[in-house]
Amino acid sequence: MRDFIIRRLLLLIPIIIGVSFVTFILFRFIPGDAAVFVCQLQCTPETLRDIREDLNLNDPFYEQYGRWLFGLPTGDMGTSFHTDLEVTTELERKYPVTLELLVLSLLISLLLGIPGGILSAIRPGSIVDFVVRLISVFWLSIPSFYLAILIITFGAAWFGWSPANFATGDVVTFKDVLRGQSLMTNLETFFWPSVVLSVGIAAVIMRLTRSSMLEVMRNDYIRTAYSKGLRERAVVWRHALKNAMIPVITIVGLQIGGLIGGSILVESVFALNGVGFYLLSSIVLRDLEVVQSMVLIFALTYVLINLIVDVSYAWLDPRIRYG
Amino acid sequence: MAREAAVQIETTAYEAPRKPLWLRLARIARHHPLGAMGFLILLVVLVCAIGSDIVSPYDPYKVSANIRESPSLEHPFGTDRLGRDVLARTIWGARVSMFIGVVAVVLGSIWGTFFGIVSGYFGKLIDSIIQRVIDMLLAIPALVLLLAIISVTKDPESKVYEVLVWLPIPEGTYLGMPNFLQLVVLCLGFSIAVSVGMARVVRGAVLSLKENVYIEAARAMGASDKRIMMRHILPNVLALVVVLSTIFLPLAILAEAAISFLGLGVPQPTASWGADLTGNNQNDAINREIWWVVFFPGLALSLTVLAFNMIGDSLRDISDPRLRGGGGPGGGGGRGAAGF
Repeated sequence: MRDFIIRRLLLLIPIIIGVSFVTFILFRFIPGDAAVFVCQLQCTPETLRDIREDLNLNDPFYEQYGRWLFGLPTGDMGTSFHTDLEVTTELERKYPVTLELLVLSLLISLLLGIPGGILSAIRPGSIVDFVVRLISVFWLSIPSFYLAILIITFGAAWFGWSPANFATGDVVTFKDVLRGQSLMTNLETFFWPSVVLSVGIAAVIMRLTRSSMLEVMRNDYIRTAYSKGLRERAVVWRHALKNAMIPVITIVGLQIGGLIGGSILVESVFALNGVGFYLLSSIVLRDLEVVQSMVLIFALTYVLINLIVDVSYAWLDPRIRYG
Repeated sequence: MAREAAVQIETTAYEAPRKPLWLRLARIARHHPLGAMGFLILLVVLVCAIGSDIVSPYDPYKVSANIRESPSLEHPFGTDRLGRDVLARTIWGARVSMFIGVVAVVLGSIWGTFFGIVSGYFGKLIDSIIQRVIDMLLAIPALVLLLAIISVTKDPESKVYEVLVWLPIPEGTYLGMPNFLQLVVLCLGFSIAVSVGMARVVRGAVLSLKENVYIEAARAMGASDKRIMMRHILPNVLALVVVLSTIFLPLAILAEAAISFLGLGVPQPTASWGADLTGNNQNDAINREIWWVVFFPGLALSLTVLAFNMIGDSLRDISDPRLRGGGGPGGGGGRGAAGF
């Protein structure tokens, strides 16, 4: 197991190089560079040239890329063309926001999805099954950004509620909670964005749990468990669930990509100052080094969560070993 | 008596009149009520998209003095900050969304099928190059990739516009859609994203197709590569491409809405479900409780996606009875939510 994890961690290096190179090439194609956005007013061709020189935008592209890439091992992800701030310092503030959003919505989606799927699978064709499947198809269809706007709009109109960070403009992350800020404020800020983000994934998990459970419940050992007099709860929880979870967990891992994309949308509605929001504004402003670093951060998050997923297989099914 | 019965059986077996079409449709609808409902919703959306001029009670771009009016008999969906009728904008939004979705998927299917067939048929180096490019594109989160592609194609200084000038694409308002040229450019951008997934699946199908004996026979008869690809492989992957297109269509519509929502898609003032959820409308909704300006366009978007999902579920129910359980919704695994 240890060797497996080490091997997978080593695989991160080619992934870092590959993903960052593609991002770099992709955004090189975009005409109009950061310089145009840096000097908004009184932009003469001369100042434009100076700014380009300043930002090293005139260097050949492999030099620009190389400088950024070789800065990585020393913890230097470059600087923002616009704010002149180091990307890593920005990241220290923004990454906890996105990470908490991702983790919380993953948890919520599991909490919503798995029980629903189980209920639906043990009584196929029942009212519960029908309701669960109806809910899942609705959840699958509602775009996260629409749901987010509805929650904010009607939350304010009916309950006088608005996200905690709207008034203060300050996002209290989990990191701040560890430093003594109130956990309630933190949850008030993150609960609804996480719910919004989790709904689509929860529907996928629900459906997959259902079909996977249906499959498992047809097995002989389930009938054996029933016939030796076990209660249904024991059969479902102890015998069926773990086996049914393997495909579900795989899909959960793959859905992280969708969550990451969704975090851009949700962060922008809820004004959460996270990585997704940062990435979006950097794309608009052609802030190349930031874009590259943020895409890289997302790719790493994706790979690491999937590594955790792979490791969890061995726990779910002891027959799976990594040698 | 016995004789009569025998005769009767004979005649009924003989004639077995085929039930009229509507009865058969009603039967399917009874067994798959949600699929039928999805079909109806989609029909309404299509009617709105195609016949916006007839269905829409007002001009969606006509500014009036009745600003921010709440829903009433006169304006069932209310009016927005410029006094434009929200119902009209929602109906015309259907045309823009459907137009972008359909054109993007059709174009994407063409590129995707082309690259998929070329990649699968020739194999070796060509295959490796195309597939590695696809790998890299798939490694980036879908929304980020879309944003990148859109910023490339959308920029007025980019080469895309120089090429488009040569094509007879009207620049201003066309088919009732302002900024028509920009919409076409958006379609191009989305079509690239569609083609990436399409090419991957088509290639897989081609890999097994090309091992068929009839391909070998065609080659033995002296058919050129081009002929084999066009006449023998393409017709065989076409069914797959059509199925994939129907999966990509709601995703393309959602993607258009998401990108427009982020302010990078359909430009103002073009009516688009996604674009109407953002900017000033969003401000109005959140800060001034003018909920109707965002509620209805978003509802239309959600219902359209819902319709596609319900139809898809019913089709899966029909094709895979093991997952069935009553005539309800939702079957097997989930499609990727794609994070929108």
